[in-house]
Amino acid sequence: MTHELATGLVFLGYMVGVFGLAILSNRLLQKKSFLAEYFLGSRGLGVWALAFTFAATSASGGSFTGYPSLVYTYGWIVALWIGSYMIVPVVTMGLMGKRLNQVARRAGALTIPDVIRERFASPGLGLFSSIVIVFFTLTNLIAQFKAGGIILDVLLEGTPGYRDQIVPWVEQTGLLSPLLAIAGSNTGYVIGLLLFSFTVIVYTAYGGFRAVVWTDVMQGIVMGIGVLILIPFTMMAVGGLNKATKDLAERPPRLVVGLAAQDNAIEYLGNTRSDVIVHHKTLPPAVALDIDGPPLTVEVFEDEQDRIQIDVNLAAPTGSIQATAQDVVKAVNASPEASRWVSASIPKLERYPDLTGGGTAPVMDAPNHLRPGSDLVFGPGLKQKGQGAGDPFHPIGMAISFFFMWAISGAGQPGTMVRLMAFRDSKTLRYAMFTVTIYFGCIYLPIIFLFTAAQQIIHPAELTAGSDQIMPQLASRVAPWWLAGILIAAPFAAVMSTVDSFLLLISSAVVRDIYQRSINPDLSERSVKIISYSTTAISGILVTLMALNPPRFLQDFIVMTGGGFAATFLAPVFLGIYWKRMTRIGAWLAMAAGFITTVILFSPVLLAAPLAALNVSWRSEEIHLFGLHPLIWGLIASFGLGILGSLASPKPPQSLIKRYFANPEQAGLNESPSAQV
Amino acid sequence: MAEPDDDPVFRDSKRETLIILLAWAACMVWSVSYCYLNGYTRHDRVPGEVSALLPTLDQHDRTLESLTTPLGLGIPDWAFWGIVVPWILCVFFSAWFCFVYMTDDPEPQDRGEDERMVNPAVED
Repeated sequence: MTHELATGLVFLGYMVGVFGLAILSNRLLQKKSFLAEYFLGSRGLGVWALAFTFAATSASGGSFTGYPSLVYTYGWIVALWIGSYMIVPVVTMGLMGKRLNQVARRAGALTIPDVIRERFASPGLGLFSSIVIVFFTLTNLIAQFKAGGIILDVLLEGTPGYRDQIVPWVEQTGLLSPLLAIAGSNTGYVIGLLLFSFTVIVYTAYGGFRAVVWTDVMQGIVMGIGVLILIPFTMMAVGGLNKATKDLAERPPRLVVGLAAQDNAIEYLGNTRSDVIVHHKTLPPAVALDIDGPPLTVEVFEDEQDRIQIDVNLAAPTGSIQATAQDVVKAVNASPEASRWVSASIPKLERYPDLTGGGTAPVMDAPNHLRPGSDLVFGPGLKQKGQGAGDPFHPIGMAISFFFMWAISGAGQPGTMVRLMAFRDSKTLRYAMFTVTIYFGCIYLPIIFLFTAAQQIIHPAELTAGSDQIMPQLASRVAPWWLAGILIAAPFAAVMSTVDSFLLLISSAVVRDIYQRSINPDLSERSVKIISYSTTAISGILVTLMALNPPRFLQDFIVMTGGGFAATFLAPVFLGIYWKRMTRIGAWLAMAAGFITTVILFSPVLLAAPLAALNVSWRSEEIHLFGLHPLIWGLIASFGLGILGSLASPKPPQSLIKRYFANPEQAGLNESPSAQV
Repeated sequence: MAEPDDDPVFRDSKRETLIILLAWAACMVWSVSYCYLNGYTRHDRVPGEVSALLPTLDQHDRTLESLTTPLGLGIPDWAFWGIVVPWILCVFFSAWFCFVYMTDDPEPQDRGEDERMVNPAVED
């Protein structure tokens, strides 16, 4: 059986499972109190449900695309990058879990804005939290939907009849013409996006929180087993991890540009251990006309950081003769200055035996760095591509920051916190926390072993759509068809398990926090049902439409979503549940300071596009004060101002403190929370 | 400061949170400093960044010749002692924390904290 067909079958089985779980969940929904069940599973999550919904929600599409790609690209240093996952389950679940669950029960809260509103007796704070959640979640969802559409398009690629019959039929009938006009005529992507959206919207809207949780359990188990089974196959293919690591370490400095599939791949190997940067540039037509002989020139010089720069200047594409990869290889090897540092060749690949370098020479947007194999075995891992080529990938400031990024920031995500409001009792939390510790250990550590070894199996020139493809490529190379099917579908499952939670987060913020709590508190059960179902569905449809061709500014906001959420929500919630003296003013200051600090430090990213449109050149990376990630400064500002603001303002009302900090006899639990203030 | 009327869940959670934060800090200090000192090929001091606050660490620059893979597992020495071993220890810590240290509090419904009593949004 082919991998493509196997993937199709796995995908089909997966869809049947997802819809089956949604139907079961909806049946349960009819028997319980609607809002608490739809948005919080009636606070009844057991060990497996809590563990896997937590793990699957944390493990977004990035865990099976971006993370393996980073390991493949940067090697062992990514072990330090991901290292904090050793303690992530205990921190993200244990830091606030038990207490947040209790406060949420006492407040009658179904959402994080609910908790904030009741703990600080402030409808304004609740509303502000809801707006921040809706904004960040919406922007993030657009990116996730886009990723889902792309993954599904790639998944369907090999399905018999899809590319040669279904796609042309859709184009001929004009069925999707309006959508194609928005998306820029990429039919495959639009079909992928619509299928993805339909699936997620239907099962999330119909089944609610419990359907999302059960789907997460299914996805989590499948993904975990898939990764574990891939280990022996990969290790057999490379002759063991010990051999793979040693071979990698001893590899000479290398740079691969171009793609084997386009027959324009070139492999540069360093003749010395010096830092060498190669850049293939296209010359403007007027300059290109001055080039005699082969349509390219090679220049070598030393930059201010003592690195060797090799510029391969290619004639403009408008020229009648275009250089091929083979021309570049000849020119570089013929240049005495260049060949002192590197030798160029057309890679010899088992999978592409007929490469001659006959394709048009590849052009690079920015310089690329030649890296020795030892760079993949030790830190800091030098960046290979872009304007920062040759800069450290993981300097010490980032190493510190990522312990905050994964563990502390993870604890401050509303999508994570809401799961801590949903478990049954503290025994469930204890067992789930340990289960997630084992699960993350079984997923994230082996991925390092697998994809450092993958360097010995898959040549970068074979990755036609970039290194994000490395997991499906590795699976289809070393594993049997059924395992490849599962692992090729894994990123799809991972994106889905993140998207469904976000969709419900938006829906709960709109229905519960904005509409029911702020506009119309006297809703009947029937109205609540209709509004909940339709809000989830409408949010999904809106996101689908925006994902057809996302506005540029939204993409820029997405990069600060995780840090922005943590910097905005962690301090008010953490201090609110553990510190009696935390006041409403303190909470306002904590939220505003965290949010504003993050936005300011990310402003270069946010403003880069508008300024570029005005021909103003500015940095396009976030500001790393002292080399630390903006999240850390956001947390310092948020906790700092939260504490100072609380100490400077009058103490909170005694009734409020009693309700959330005193034992049940003194807490006055029979009264409504708002009646006590 | 703890008061006699304080809820036991609140008291226990505070104690447990402190242990978790200490464990997180220990992991960070050990992993980052061990990996940085023993796993980096260069320790450049960059003005305006954390590295500038550290003493010169050139003598810790790793060379390929010094690479070892403990127990023949194929894991570079710095990643083995800096990440893999602490990761395994964290699993034991998690087991101790979850099954020995963390207390089981009374069931929420036994304490009058169950949904129906306090949730104003729930209709019967």
